Amino acid sequence: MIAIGNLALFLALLASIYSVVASVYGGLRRRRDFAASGEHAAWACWGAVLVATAVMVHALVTHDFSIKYVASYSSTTLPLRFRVAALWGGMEGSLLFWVVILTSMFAVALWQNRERNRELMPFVTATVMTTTAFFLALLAFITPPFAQLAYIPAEGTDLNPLLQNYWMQIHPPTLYMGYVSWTIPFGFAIAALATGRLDDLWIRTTRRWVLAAWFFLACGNLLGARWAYEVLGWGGYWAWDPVENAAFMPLMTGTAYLHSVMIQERKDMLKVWNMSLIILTFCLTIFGTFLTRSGVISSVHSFTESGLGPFFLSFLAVVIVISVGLLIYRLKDLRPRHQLDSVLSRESAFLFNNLLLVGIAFATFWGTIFPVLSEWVRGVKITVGPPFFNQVNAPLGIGLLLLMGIGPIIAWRRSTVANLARTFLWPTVIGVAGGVVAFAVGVRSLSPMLVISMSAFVIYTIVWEFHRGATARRSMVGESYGTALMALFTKNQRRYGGYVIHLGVVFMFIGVTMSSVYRVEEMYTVSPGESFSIGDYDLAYQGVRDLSDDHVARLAATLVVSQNGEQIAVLEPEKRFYKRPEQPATEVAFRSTLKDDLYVILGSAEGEVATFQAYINPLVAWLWLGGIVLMIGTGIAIVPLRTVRQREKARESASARRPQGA
Amino acid sequence: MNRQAKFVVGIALIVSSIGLLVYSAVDQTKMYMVTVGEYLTAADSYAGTTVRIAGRVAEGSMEWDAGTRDLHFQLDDIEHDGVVTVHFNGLLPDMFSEGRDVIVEGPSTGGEVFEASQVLTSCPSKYEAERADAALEANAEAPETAASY
Repeated sequence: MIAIGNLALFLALLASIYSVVASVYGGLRRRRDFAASGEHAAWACWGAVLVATAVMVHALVTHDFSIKYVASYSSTTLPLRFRVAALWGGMEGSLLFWVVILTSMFAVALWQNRERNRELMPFVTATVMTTTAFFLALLAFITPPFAQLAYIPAEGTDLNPLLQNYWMQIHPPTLYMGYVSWTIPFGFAIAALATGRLDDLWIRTTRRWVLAAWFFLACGNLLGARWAYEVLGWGGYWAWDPVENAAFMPLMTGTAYLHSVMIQERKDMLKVWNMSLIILTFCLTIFGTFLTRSGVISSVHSFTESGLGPFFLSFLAVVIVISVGLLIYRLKDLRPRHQLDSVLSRESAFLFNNLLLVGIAFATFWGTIFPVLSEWVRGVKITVGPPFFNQVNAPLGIGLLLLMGIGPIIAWRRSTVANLARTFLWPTVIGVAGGVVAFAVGVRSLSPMLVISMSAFVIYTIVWEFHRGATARRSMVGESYGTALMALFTKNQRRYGGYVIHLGVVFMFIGVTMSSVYRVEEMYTVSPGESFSIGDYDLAYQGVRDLSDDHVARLAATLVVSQNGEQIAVLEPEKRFYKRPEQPATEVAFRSTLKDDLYVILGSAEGEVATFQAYINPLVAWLWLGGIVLMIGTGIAIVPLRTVRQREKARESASARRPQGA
Repeated sequence: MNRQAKFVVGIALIVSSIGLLVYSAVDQTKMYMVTVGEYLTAADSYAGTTVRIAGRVAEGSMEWDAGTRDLHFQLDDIEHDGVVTVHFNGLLPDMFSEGRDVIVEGPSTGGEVFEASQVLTSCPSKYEAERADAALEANAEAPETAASY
């Protein structure tokens, strides 16, 4: 079996290299036979990678401890679902998992484009297969997943107990898909540059890919935050850890791209900018993979240190040189056909939104690599912690929130002062009213007040947009108000799905701001029978039970929670100590409502005397709720509700409407 | 001012304010990462800033009062290049014990006792590779049975 796995990896590597060569030759010389051969090799590569992955999963499932990876990340007592998840639990397996996702996604793209985009496809294939070849080369020569041990251990060292939970099964795959799917639009961008087909063909082709990539990346980040909140037990959900930042940066540049590409579609502007954003986003996904695997920056997410760093940096350098080189080569063909008309226009709102998003990505990047930079430049190791990221990103985030309200309702091209006043009168009144209400309920600091005020402003504009759309349809088509409202989603999925996403983001802003500014944190040391209070919750400590078994030493404390004299919950936070490998862990207990979360950690128990760390996290549920709304919104934008025929028709009428030339 | 110039000014304003924001935030939140030895030789130059000092908990120096949650210990330089007395109030950090490598974070006041706001026990994952290999050896059956290849 091991031989099959190794063979499959080498064949996949050969196929990917051949595919690159054949595709580039076929593309440059316009030889269809070579291009087709390149695609066939890409299919073959996919098949071989599937075989290698199947061998690895089979080995994990059947406890083949002669493979070092299997012996290091699983055991005979590990449940089946975690044995499968162990595929992405360690360095070698995670790289293999990366390649299997990439080649599978590309298989989908190849199938979609089997009769379309023949001119672009050779270079798309070459780009994606170059990336594939890089990862396969790492697997074949640097971190062989099927490396064998000189002896067969009776038992494996097992998956880290902190990874043995539900989230391990969904967070890494989602995030990896979020990272990997950007390769497809990047491939099309490079193909557009290489062929000189710089119209909006590549953008139309990749529209849904970009949305999918964005969706997975956003979900990956959210699921990671939720994992931290539920399992890691330090009371929060985001720590600006380097690896969290690594997943956050491409999300920001990707969001910028999603917005600015609309300007290119409508106005034929910002072409160079869009190319740069997609290149940047792809580079950031590679950079993120590098951060987790190089050991350059220490982090809770790190895999064990390895010698992969230089390879990733070299690959990144190659990507940057080729992409930027192509971009410069095509610069004169990318000149915009229009210019921005006015600072007071939707175009400029999009432009400023882009600057802020890229600004957030840049600030986050700077803070992440600062320790490395300062050591290089000044020889002193200086680090910046979460306060840095909060201090920089909070004002930029508030700026984004404001633009989220302005963007959808400000006129395209230019607005006069008079129609600005008309458009923004009511949203502004509602926004100010929101601020006043916040003040009335006791919000006194500036940033939460701004966030609430602007959230009210944004929510009003979104609701108003829906209302306006529905009323217009009702009078034009004669539908009932309800039908008209539903029809908006199917007729203009991207626009109205986008508004739903905005609504989710507003909820998230509210949740994040309020739970970080108004969080209450207390520590209590109590004996059984004693009580303590936090916020308006009273917690009575009943005692501690020992629930230890062979694998883990467990202490569980029982707390009866009451509010206004009424018992509302029983919380049982635990302290655990895993025996193999030796590792302490906290089992958080919390009670969540839309108003606040009561979150309790058992800090220590010495005899019957226990120390608790308790938090009140106000409105934190809105972060998760916002995440769900965001997923629904992306679903609305992405699911093909209309048939191909309807879409073609819509496109024809849209291009007929658009002024040509100019 | 023509409209392109307005855009240039607008963009320049935003970009430079982001730059300024980053610069000032670094200045206000930076923490020096030092070893005990480095901290002791240049304590004055860190005055007024936050520092993270890496060292090892000296044997026999740990005093933990569970009632008041006060932790006192001596932080020894890993190369035995000096000792800092540390006080911390809070939950006893997981895996904290004498002989363990830890990082303490707190304001550099130059006083006798370093008042730590955080005590970080070094991440176990760093040692995972070594440990995993050791554990595998321990689990291995008698080497001769595995000598089939």
